[in-house]
Amino acid sequence: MAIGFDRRASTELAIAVSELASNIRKYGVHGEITVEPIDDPKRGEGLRIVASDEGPPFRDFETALQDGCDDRGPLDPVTFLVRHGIGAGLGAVKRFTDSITLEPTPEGKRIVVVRYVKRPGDSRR
Amino acid sequence: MNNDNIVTDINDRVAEMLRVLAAVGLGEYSNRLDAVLPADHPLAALYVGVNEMIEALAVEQQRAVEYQRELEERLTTIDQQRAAIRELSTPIMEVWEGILCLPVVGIMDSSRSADMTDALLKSVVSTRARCTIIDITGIEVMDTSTADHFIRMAKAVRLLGAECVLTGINPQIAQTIVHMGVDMEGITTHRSLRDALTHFVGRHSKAAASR
Repeated sequence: MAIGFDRRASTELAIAVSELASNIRKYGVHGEITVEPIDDPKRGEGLRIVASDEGPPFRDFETALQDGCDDRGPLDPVTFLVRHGIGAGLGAVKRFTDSITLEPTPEGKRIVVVRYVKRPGDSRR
Repeated sequence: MNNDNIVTDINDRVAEMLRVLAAVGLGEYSNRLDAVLPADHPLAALYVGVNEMIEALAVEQQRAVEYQRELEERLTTIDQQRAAIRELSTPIMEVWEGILCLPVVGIMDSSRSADMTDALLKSVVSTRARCTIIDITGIEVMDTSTADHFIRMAKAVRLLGAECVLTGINPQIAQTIVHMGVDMEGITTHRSLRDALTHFVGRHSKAAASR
């Protein structure tokens, strides 16, 4: 990628965007995703992804971030089948990015996700 | 006409207009004001104006109906294409008698993993497969939760009575799986689809030959 993410990071970001987009399509009524480069004085270059939608707000974002759960709690097997999902989308987004925040908006809500090219502990990889 | 007659006439005309406009309000655009008033009648211009307005509304309504129909056609097409794309992204092929192969390429996110499990398990049952080979050479990265689901899918295949083989695991994904600490008991892996096929077809021939 032009900003300097390697192939693996690019794939991880692609998965994050895919998860966010799937969520909008499944639960968000109508929404959009914007992707833009950023340059932070301390952290350096990176990417900001904003997924906004007009759907209802999360009841509990913290729970929704956990694997196997949605915003109400753990998913039961029937829900897996009905919703074509395993409740792990946001968890993946969180793991693949440096920060994830939820903001309410007049129309609905939005999730802002940021990842920098240089991550702490990168030299270990 | 004397004043009383004029007032009665105007009242009648206004009543007629209100009737027609009420119908328009209910979405009925076919009515028009029928009477042709003499040019010097105080409501003559209004009559013509109201008729023209109803005409214009009727045209717009027709356009809206057609637009709606077109939109619905397009949405149907989009739905059909979406279903086709989903099928294409999970091509399950019977490459040998009783052996299913599922080559996976591209971005594996949680939705795709869920869809794939669905499709694969159904296929195993409907084709009575003895073995499924899932090739993930084309997948570069998987999130831990997705990888976890993937392994569970492989185990579910085993529960259905078929063997499950994973091929093409790259170092990245191998680390992810090991990191998760999941039990890979009963799941065979090979480096490539070709290796896996050679192994299974060979075994099958030996078994057939020894009978």
